[in-house]
Amino acid sequence: MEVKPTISKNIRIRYPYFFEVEDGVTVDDFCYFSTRVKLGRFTHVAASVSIIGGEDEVFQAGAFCGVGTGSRIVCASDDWICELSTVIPSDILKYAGVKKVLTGGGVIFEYLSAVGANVTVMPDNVLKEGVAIGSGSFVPSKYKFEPWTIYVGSPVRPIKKRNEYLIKEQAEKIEKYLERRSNAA
Amino acid sequence: MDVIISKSIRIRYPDFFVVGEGSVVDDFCYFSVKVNIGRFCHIGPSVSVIGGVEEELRMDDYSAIVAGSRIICASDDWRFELNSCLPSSFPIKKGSKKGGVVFEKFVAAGANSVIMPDNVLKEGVGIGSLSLVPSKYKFEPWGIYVGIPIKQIGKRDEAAVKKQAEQVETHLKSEE
Repeated sequence: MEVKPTISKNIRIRYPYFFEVEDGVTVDDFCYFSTRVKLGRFTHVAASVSIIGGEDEVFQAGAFCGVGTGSRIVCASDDWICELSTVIPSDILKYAGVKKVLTGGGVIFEYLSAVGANVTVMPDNVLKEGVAIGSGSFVPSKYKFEPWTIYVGSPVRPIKKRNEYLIKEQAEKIEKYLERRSNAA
Repeated sequence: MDVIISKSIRIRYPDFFVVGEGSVVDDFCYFSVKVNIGRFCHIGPSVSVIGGVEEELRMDDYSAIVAGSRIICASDDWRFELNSCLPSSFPIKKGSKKGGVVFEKFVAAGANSVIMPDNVLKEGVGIGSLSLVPSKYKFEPWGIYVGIPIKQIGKRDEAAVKKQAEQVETHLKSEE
């Protein structure tokens, strides 16, 4: 038996063709998505989250992931050291002879990873399995994460380990319960 | 005095949403707890207050939450609990970090600040922008706090702030 996703109507999905959600996903109000999006089972995207970067980039979350309220996942950005930092229509850029290179790169949340409230994640990052990031943190581009570690700060630094065994056990309990339920039905 | 509440907000439990006179709630706010707001309070745009119907946010008179702040009234302990949203019928115990948040009189939290569960912001406390308030933080009345996590950097002028509030009250009485 499936668990229906709960997707608020007050959200903006720029590219609905590329918006995929699995069973049990929750997306709360006022979220904004301008990338391709794939959300795995029971992943939760809380209120007022923005995931930006354009149609060419992908934000992908595995099962049991969490994106805390107000967090921003940036999947493409201009290089502000030597480029304009506004959005200018591509035809104007072309005829004016201005070349802008986006420092792009999708963001991947692996199985059981999560970020707290008001966290900013910059492009080209892979949150390894079980990674958790504390509220108000900043994750620079291409950060090297270790699995099952908790990070905090701006920029982030590791502070302690998560209990991999207990958390996996909880996820397994849920999968087993769902299996029992579907067998019964 | 009228209250001003934007129509573009989401109130998950409208039966438990109380707002006092002269208070303002701006656009794109999200409330998933019981909310009890006093007089002349201000909640700026894009504020989220989350935690479920069992928890409460209480704001006493003249307190404020500035744009983009997040008040968390319930959370999971990520050291040993799952972090995703699950139907309550599931046989899993989580949400071990919980507790409402109280803003006493004259308290203000700056833009994009994050307040974790189970906190009482004592009278007159000021929180700087982008700050993080950990659970069960011990506040001094009228202290100014900033940082991730917060630390105290100064004091607010209690007498000056209270005098302004008194001026407002005297003005209101003269209008009656």
